[in-house]
Amino acid sequence: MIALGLEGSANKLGIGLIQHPPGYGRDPTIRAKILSNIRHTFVSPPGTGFLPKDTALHHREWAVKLIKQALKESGVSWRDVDCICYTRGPGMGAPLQSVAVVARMLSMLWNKPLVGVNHCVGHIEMGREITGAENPIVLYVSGGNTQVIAYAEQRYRIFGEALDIAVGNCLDRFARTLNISNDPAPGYNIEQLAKQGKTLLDLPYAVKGMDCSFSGILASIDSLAREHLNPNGTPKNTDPPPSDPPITPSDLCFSLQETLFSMLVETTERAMSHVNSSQVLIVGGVGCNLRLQEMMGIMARDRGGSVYGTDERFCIDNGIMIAHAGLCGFSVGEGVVQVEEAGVTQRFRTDEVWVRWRD
Amino acid sequence: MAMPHTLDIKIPLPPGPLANYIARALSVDPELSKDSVLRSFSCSQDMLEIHYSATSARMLRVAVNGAFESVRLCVSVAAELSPEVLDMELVESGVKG
Repeated sequence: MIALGLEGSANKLGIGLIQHPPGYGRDPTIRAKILSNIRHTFVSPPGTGFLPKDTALHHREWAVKLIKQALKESGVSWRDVDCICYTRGPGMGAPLQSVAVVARMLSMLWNKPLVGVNHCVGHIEMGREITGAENPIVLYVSGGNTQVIAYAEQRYRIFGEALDIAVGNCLDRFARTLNISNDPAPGYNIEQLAKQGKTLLDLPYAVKGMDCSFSGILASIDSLAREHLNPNGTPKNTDPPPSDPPITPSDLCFSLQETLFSMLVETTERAMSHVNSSQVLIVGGVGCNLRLQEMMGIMARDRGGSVYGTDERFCIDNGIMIAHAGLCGFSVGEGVVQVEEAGVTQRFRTDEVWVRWRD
Repeated sequence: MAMPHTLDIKIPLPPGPLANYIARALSVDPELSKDSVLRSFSCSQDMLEIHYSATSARMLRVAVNGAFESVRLCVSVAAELSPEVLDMELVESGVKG
């Protein structure tokens, strides 16, 4: 079985072709085969975020080119494709719609079934497939989502989540404050700066039960930036000079990461102890962050377990995860829709999906 | 609410099911400002027919712009990813190779 996956819920347009060879799902030694996984990212200028309208335009411009390229590089004919999978939500309305229109057209032109996929479930299933983690606690961290998830009885259940903005949004918006590049990703550039950080500044630590709040931390780090940095980002010269070294953008990035990631490690650890699991799987764009993986690894090892992460090909939004999760659903009839029902939805919680393909 | 500003658009398309496909693909998503814009997509034979009515000329213009962008996307998908087109390209590259 071969699926084409189309993802465009945020600023990445991803096209993927995946194959589940015969026996997949019954024989655990048979793994999914990635035939093509390509992506084109809409990068907004420094100091700005990506707006729905511009992002939708980007996806409309690139969708056809990317699909052609995916077919070409994989050597897969449209005839070999068993289903067309697209992101139903959650995400930004206009970009989701643009990609769904392409999926509907292809479904009619090729006469192939359509499968609507939950974006979060796409991340989880792809992470499980790549790492081989069987029943991990999942930390899903990205620009739009922050969730601690455990699987039980055919649902991915949310144990904890962000109460306001997502952790990745907090990082992205601080990158705008510092006016640093959004290429390849704002969070990546913060991670690089943070490596040079020496001074850990006090920030609010906002874990509330199993949930986290990030907007107050953003306000706090923004005001520290105003206090310590000139508008061009250089440390302020004070008279007389301070006895301690001046606070740099690197110190701010370092402090922000350490605080945010500590909160995520704490809630993840509590979920692990609750369900007696020693595996953590980190998915979503922020999951690429090596410092987060390192901190999570220290915690998991203390509990006699381990952390599973993937690299940018699978962590950052991509089409292959939509193809993969869609094909999992297709094998049991989950998510299959007629063109008339193939809508999109900005809100679509992870636990709404009936995970019929798992025991 | 009264919707005095209306526009009927007819787009001729190549013979075949394309007009029907586009009407179906674009009918799914609801108009974002339902209170001020009404819209329908239909087809008769090879003609794609779009009807818009709106409370103001401004709303009408914004909505119609959006529709044209969507139609353009559908046409480019059909032009470059139809089975006939893909099969033809395969034959051509085979001949070259």
